[in-house]
Amino acid sequence: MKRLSRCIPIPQRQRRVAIDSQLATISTMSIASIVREARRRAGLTQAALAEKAGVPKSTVGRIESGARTPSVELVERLVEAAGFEVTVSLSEPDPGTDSMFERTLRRTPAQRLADATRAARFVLRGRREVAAAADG
Amino acid sequence: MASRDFDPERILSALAEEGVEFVLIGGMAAILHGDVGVTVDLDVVPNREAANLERLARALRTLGARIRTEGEPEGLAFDCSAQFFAHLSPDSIVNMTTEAGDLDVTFCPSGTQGFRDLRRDAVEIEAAERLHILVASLADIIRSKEAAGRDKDRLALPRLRRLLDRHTERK
Repeated sequence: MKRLSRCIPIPQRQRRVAIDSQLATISTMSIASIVREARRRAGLTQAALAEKAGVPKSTVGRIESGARTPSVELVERLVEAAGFEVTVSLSEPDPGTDSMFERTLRRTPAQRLADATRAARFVLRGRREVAAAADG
Repeated sequence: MASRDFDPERILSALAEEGVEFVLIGGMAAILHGDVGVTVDLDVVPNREAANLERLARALRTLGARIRTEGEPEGLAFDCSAQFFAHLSPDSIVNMTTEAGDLDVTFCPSGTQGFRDLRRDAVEIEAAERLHILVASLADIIRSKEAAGRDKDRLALPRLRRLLDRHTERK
């Protein structure tokens, strides 16, 4: 199995499923989303993934619904059974986001609402134009 | 329907003018806390008491609220009454389109116990001149998005947690 994956490497960007960089705040639902996303991307049913990973189908269902918090080892096993790998990393906060926060936090809530209204209208206008173009 | 331009101030004003008790949650609530995301609707959690549902229904009627559904840009007419809302299960979400844009009403957002739970830590914000509304705390918004677990929520979470850190640092 290992040899096969070395012989036919899957591009890294397709294989990696990133866990939220803020390790301390990983939640049950985040884990659920990662397992579900890996399974869906692999085109597997819960039963098929369970079979590949050698676990009961109910285990996959409970993890995906957030009813069970799995161990890191089990997450790795499930994600790898779907053909992906889990990478966990710590990173510095994105300075771009921080500088945007600097700007928004200087504005009053009323100004933020006005900004958000303009942004939403821009997005909605774009959607309408795309829909109109699609209609011919 | 006279206008479909998104006008959240008009929606919030209509609710406030009727005296509806509600907490704003979701993307717009996060934006009022300083988030840099974009959202095209409002999410409100009203108090479920009968008198408040009367006020809610009245406000929604003034906004021309209709049920939002794919393939029906104008939405579908519905019985916009207190009884309608009273008969909904607590975890129902009513997706509506109004003359001032899309509005979602939910009584018990994911990961929360509803209005009373959210009101406890909500902050009163002046969203426009003389328009004071209750906005769910950033921690509660995060809690709800974590529980909802939708892709768009998952993408927003690292940013919202960072914003929460910034709020904490500023205190």
